[in-house]
Amino acid sequence: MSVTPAAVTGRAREYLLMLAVMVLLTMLEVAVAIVPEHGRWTVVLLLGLALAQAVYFALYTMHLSRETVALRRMAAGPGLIAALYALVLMAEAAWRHLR
Amino acid sequence: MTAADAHVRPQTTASWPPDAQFGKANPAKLAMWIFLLSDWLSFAGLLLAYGILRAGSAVWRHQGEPGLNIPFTCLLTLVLIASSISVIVAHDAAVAADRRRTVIWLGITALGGVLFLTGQYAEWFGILHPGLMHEGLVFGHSAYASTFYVITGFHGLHVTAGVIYLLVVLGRTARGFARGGEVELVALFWHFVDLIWNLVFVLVYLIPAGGPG
Repeated sequence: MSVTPAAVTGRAREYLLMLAVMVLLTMLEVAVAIVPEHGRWTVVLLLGLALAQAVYFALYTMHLSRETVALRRMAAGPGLIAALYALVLMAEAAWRHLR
Repeated sequence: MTAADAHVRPQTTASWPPDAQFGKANPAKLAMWIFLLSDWLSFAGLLLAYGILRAGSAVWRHQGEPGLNIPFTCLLTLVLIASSISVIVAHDAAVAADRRRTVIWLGITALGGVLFLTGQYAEWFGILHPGLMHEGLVFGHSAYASTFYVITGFHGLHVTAGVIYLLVVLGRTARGFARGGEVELVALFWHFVDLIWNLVFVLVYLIPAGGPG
């Protein structure tokens, strides 16, 4: 398979962009954790950033965005199940706390 | 027409709705995805258990237990992220049938994994400085210590498996035995290891630093 120089340059740019996004997200996470002013929102912000990074990873570095719809749905399933389980546990803890 | 012919069901052409995806799944890739998703559920179980213990503890880190070194672990995270990019470049080289470049980038990726494991060893046992085990973070003494070792240890096993897998594919590629999809499969596994590490880094290292306890 022949690869044109333009295609190679385009891919190099794409890889650098991926690297930049992931480094930026990691640095943001560290900044949120270190800066104490966020208080209770620290956990929410960190979880949101971690989730964003995980989705970015799955879609772009694992190329799920270029896969078939069926594979994307299959991959999303266990993630949603884990999130649902976490929500049920949080609701149960809140209910116990309020009782 | 004979009596036997009359009982034969007439041949009809099945008319399914058009499906652009039919027959396009690569069985090896599909198998890897199924493995990764089941593995994800193992990690999800561990991380949820960690969350339950963490949320239910009045005091998470007891007196005498050391904190985690965030700058050092951040550096290890960046190494793993960089290795995720290098494995994409290796895959790209494999697609372009450039064996030499594939071998080089797979080697760089494996080196990233070895660096990460060395860093984790230094964090646990210490190399130039005393490790967490010598500083008072002892497995079984608290939920903080046990969840830390179980989660990072389970992930470390995945990195070890990933490095071995990378070296096997590297060897097969160098000798010309590797088939086209092998680099893609190892790349998927390596990305997964990296994805999980980012969650572990946030949940285990960063939340205790910013959260209560």
